[in-house]
Amino acid sequence: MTEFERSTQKTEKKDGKFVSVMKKIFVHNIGWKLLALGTSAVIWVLAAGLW
Amino acid sequence: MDFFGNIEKKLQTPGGIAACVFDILLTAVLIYGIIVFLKKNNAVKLAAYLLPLTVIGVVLSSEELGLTVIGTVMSYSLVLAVVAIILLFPQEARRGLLKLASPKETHEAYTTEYDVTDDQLHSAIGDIVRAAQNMSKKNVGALIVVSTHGVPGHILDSGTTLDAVLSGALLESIFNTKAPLHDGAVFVRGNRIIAAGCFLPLSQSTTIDKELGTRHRAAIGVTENYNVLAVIVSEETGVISVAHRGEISRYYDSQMLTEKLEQAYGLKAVSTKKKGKRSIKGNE
Repeated sequence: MTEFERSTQKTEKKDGKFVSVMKKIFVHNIGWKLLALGTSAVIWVLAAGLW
Repeated sequence: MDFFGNIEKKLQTPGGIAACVFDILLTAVLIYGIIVFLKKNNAVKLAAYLLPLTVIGVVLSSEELGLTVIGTVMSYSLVLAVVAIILLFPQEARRGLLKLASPKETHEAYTTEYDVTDDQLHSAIGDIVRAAQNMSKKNVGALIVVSTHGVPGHILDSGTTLDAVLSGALLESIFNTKAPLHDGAVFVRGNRIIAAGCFLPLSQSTTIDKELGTRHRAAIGVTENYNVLAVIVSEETGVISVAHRGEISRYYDSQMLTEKLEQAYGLKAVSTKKKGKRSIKGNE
C-alpha cells in the first residue's frame, strides 16, 4: 500500500462516508476525469455540428 | 455546411440541452472507464493515441465530409476498439468476462483495501527481513513480491489465494522445500500475503548475469512489467537480492533490505546514497 493510499484511507476515516464519496467523485483522479469530460465535450460538439 | 447552426438547432429546447448534458456525461464516464482499464494494465500511454483518434474518427465519419470508405471504417471503430483490446489484453479480457460470469467468486481479496497502520507495516517488514535471513542461512530459495500499487490479477490466478496476515513463520513454511507452494512466488500487499505459488513472466533480457537462475529471471521479469518489488533468496548461495524496475541488486543485508522495503511501502524517503551493492542491469 502506498503512502498516498494510506493517507487517502486516513482522510476517508476522518471525513465520514458522504464526504468521502463526494471526494471520490470530485477529487480523486480529477485530472483524468477532466480529460474524459473535455474529450467527451469536444466529441459532442463535433458530432452535433458535423452529423 | 452550417456547423454552428446544427449545434444551435440541438440546443434550442430544454429537452435538447438536457439530452446534450446527459450525452456528454455518459460519454465521459465511458472514456474514464477506458482510461482506468488502461491504467490498471500499465498501458495508459495508449490513451494518448486513442483519444485523439476517437475525435478524428468523429470528424471523418461525418456525412457532411462525404468520405465514404474512411467514414465507414471509423463508424465501426468501436467494434474495432473492442477487438483490439481483446487482442492486446487477452488475460485481462478473459478475467473481466469471468468476473461478469461469477462476480461473487472472483478476486475480492485482490481488490480489498487493507486498513494498515505504520506499526503493522514495520512489523510486516521485520517479518519479511527475518524470514529472508533465516532462509538465506539454510539456503532455502524464496521469491517474495511486494506489491505497493495494483496487483496483476492474472499472475495471482496462477497461484493459490491465501489472504493471510503476514508472518515470518508463514513465509518460511511456504518456502519449505517439502511444501506444495514453495515452487513459485509469494505476493504480499500491506501486511498480508495475498497469494502463494504464483508463476511469474520470465525476463527475456540477454544482459542478465548467467549465474542467476530462473527465480532471479522471474523476479526481474515481474518488475519489468509491473510496479512491484521482488525479494529473492538464492537456493544455491543464500544471497539475498532485490529486483525493482527490471534491475536486480544483490548482496543485501538485513539493514539494507529493511530500508528498501520501507521505501517501497512509503515509510521512508528514497535515499540517493548507494551502499556499495552490485547492480546488474536486467532491462536496457
